[in-house]
Amino acid sequence: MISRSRVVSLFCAAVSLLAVFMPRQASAVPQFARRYNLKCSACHTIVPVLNEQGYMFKRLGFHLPPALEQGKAADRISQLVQKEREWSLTNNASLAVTDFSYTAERTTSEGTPPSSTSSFQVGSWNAYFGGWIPDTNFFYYSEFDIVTGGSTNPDLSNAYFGYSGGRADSSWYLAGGREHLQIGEGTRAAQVYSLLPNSPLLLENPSATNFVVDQSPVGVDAGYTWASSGYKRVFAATAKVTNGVNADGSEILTSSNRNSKDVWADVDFWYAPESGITYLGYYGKKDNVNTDPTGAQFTFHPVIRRQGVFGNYMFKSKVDVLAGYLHSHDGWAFAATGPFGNFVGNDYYVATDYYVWQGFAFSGRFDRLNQQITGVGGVGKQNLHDWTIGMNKTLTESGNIIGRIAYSSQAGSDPVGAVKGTDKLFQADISFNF
Amino acid sequence: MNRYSIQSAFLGFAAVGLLWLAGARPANAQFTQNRETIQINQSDLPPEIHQAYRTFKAKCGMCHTLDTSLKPSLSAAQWTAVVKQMQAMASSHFNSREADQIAKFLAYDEIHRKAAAREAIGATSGSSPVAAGKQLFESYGCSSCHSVAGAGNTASALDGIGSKRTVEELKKLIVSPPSGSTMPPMDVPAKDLDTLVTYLLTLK
Repeated sequence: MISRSRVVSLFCAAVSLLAVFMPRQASAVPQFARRYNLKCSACHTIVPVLNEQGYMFKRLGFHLPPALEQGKAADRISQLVQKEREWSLTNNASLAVTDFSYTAERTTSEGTPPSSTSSFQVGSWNAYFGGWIPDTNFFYYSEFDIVTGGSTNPDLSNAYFGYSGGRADSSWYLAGGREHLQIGEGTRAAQVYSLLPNSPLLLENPSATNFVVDQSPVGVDAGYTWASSGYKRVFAATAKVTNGVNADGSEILTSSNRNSKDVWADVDFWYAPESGITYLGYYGKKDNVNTDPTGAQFTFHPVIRRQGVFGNYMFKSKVDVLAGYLHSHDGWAFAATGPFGNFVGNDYYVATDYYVWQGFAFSGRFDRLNQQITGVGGVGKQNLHDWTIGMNKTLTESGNIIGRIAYSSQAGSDPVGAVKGTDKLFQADISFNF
Repeated sequence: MNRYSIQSAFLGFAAVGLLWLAGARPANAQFTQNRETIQINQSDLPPEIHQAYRTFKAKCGMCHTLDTSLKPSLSAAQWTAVVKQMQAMASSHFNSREADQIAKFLAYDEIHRKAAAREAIGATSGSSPVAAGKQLFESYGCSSCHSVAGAGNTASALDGIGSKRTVEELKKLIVSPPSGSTMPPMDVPAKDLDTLVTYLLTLK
């Protein structure tokens, strides 16, 4: 019979291991590393943050960007297709990309008792299937999420087909299906991926109108990419037309009586090793449900606008300094017949990732959201700020298993009711990509 | 979580799992990037190669394992060309001085460690030229670009080549591939060439 002290020791050891090997949102696609026999760091600084090569890989329709030597003609996409390895299921599918985490969280909110929670959980479990159709320029990608946020909730969150053409230094693509809004990915500071467990607030925080940039709507998009020799400079532009989102912020996946479509634009410029700037813009409409002063619910149709600029600079492949700014401007109604106002948000973040050596990095980020609903009935300027620190360490030679520890502290008030609240979160996870 | 969710998850797993099993390839398609079989002992390197090796490991090791980087067997001029090509890849980020260092180490490794390994092949393969040829096939890094029975790079399979090509044709293809071919001319001594071709002729 195992003694109580031994049980306690084992439990403490397990908790310590988890705490050391921190957790993360798993979203790398290891079948591509398998296909090309490359380490994860060929396309990522640390999974899942993409480097310039990973970015180009997506822009070229999941083909490895070839060498661009000065004075030599770049390969056509159709030539890249011919050089690809034989198609096989194991080189096009990742059965399990998952993370196991421990979280401890304490939240407070005015008018309600504080709450503390802690849990071990399988944070996410995703399966990917992506690649190209043999001997053609067509590509495809799907992501089947089995577990999300610790809950089993099967969802085909990405499923699209596309066609890429042109040459490696001047290429274009057309794609359609359910794609992440930032399918062009953006340069480093604009990516929804981060070394920290959560994306910057301006990408993942829902606005008062239930709109969030981190979404995967159904639509069609087109992109153009230009690269100089040695990929010293890369310019890319993407335009997308989507269904938009429902009143609750969920993506419209099937027919809807809201017939207008939303548009999204993304312009990226990589100008130095692993450094770049991005402009993002969104324009659309959505249904929104509000409660008027008498307590009655009504639906109105605000116009949604987002405009953002993001930039990063990587110093000597060691220190990456990132910053982003997003301006939000949405319609707002206090009652079905007015008065009318606007939801205005100005969100920014600054962050630093220090890569001590390959596969080991410390990160820190400060976010601030200034939000206001203008007009009679508005509660004035409110803000939410968040700081997060973390550490990432790859645990294998290739970098496909990663541990992470992170701590974040958030405080502020919401723009609708000015209710103050705080949230402190410790997270340790380990992610497996195979 | 409702019953539908559980059923969906189960069916999803079952479908993907069956496909996975059906398409799995035992040797060549596994995730081998965590496996290093080649070991470089720094103490065996002369001082002037130490820095070159460190540069090679730091820069090439970003994307490749040692096994992948050191598998092909090329001449010094060919290595220089390969390194120049790598320098023009996205996210390679090494300058011309570092490129020279990398090429210097690869050329050194070619004429020392790899040459010694090839010399040992005759002794370890007994009297069988086919077995020796198979080892030379690996030693010269042929499997970087070619596969045999699914092992190696399946982009260019050599299965059946023994019944399609003559001895002379095979020799010519190895040392002097046709212009426009992606295969580099291989600097293979006559004795090794004979042994290599003996093995390739068995691939029918």
